[in-house]
Amino acid sequence: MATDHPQLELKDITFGYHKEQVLSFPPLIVNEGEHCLILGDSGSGKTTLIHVLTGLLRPLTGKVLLNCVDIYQLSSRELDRFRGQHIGLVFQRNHLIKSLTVFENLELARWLAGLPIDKRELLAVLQRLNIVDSAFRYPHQLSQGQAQRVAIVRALINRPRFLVADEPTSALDDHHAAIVLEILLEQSKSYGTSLIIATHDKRVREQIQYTYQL
Amino acid sequence: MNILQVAHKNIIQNSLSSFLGMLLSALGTAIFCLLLLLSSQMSQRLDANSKHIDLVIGAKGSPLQLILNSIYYIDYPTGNIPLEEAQKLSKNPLVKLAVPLSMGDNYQGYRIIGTDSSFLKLYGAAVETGKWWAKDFEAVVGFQVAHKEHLKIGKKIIGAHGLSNSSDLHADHPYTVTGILKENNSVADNLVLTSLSSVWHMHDEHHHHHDEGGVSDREYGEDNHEKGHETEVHSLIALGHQGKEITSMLIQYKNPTAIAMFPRMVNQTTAMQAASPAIESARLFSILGIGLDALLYLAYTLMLIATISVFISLYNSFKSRKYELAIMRTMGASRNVLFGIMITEGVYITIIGSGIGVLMAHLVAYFISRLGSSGMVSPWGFSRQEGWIPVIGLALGFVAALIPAIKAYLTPISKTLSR
Repeated sequence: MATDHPQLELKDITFGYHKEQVLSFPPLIVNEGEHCLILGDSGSGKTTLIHVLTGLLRPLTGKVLLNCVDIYQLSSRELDRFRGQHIGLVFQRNHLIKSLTVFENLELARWLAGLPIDKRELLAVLQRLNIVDSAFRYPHQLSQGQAQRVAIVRALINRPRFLVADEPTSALDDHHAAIVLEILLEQSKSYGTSLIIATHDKRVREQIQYTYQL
Repeated sequence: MNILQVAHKNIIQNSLSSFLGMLLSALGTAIFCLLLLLSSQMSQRLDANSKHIDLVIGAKGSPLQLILNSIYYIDYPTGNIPLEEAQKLSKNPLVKLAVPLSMGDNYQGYRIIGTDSSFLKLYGAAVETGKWWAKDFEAVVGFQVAHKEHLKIGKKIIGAHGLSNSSDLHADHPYTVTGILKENNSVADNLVLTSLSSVWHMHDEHHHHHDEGGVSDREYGEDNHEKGHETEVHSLIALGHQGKEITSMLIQYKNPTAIAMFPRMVNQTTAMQAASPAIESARLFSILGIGLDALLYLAYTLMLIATISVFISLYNSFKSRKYELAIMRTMGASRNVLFGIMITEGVYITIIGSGIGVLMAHLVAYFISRLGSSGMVSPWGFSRQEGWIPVIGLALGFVAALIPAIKAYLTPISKTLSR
């Protein structure tokens, strides 16, 4: 991908459920390998913006360009596939699939994105993050911190261009928040992934300079 | 990883409610399958046994009883008819084949039938090993009898008085097996055939010996060489046919015009009755049919309940997994994949359920066949209609899963995630 093109670009995005309450979002450009914090008070539309830019919520107007692809021009199925392959999503509370083990959750991510599964590589990734012991445990057997780590691994397992996290640390204590943030930064660096984090958590703000204020 | 694996994991997660769904669909299918099995095999058997028999002549009484007794060998005789009268009818130009039957004894629950070689012609049966009897107290046994009782040529078998297994043995007059019939898939497989005069002789002599307190130990019999056998037989043949009676006579017509005339002629001009297997079998089926219909409705009801149970279980599972489904969408799952997972879960439960049901039905059929020696049911025979059972299982699962699957298909990702 040419570096002179931005990886992520939001243009003239507005969104609203009713005509009277239309949110309009300022333009945003994130270049390859850059990280971005989306800041704002709760209710300011952070989650809405996250959903819009990951193709989960169609905006009223405007364009979302990811890798120069106007994602809302894609068909529903193409958009699903695009999301699976190029966007990793992490939420405030981990939402691993309860009926699947940690390892199967990773397999699921590969499979849903239509990518081949290399079991050895999946184990290696778990090993790198020190959670290989939990590989065959179920989500309810994990601590909150472990589960969040697994969720990050799962979001990164397809080597996406963007890792989008919605309040990834706010449910964690300082110790685990620091670990999670470190992993996010470290892993996105090693995969060459752009990190976009929506948060009001001060602990995150210290780590990423580029901010986008709502 | 594939849809089936994900569905399988979810089913294990909800193992209790999935088990209930499986159990109910298994029960519904089992009853349905058992009905298919029994009714198809029974009608096949009934048809095979009455195929070449146009009419049964016997003593007056219930025509259904006469048919049951003389064609299916399950009920008691209506009485006896004079052999002479029967022979007169058999000489009628409308009659192609007339087979006399005389019964009253059994061997290990298999009826001993006095008849003649026209019996083989009527059933299209043939002797496989050995030969047709030449003398009295020689017998030819059906395939199943020989098979189940491990009979070989030359073996002596002892009849017991009555039509069901009893201890009132005719130990002093054993039959010698001279032949074994080829498998015929008709009642002939489960009969012991002997000459008419053997049966008459047995009963003429019966009381005489019985009064003496004849040996009633079965052990006595099988390889015993009876003394004086020959002389008794010769004296019997000398008796001739006068005053002899038979139980009934099976008639095969020469041509279809006989249907209209012959039975009426018998019923009006003789003291005997003529019963048509076709009419009586139809009557029998209409009587049985009510019971079969009731069971069929029970099977339908169970399958309906199974469907509702699977639906409820999937719907609850959908509600608690709504968030997970949205998460899977963020991981790249298309709507179709979610739809597919829900449908697969439903079908998975009901297909396994119906598989267990088919197995249960055959096991029950197996026990039924073990209980009755009549050989009416062969438990491992699969009817062609059974091929529809997986299709029914599939349809039940599909119907049960349809609404949860549509719900999953339509789950709004963003709304579900922000809740």
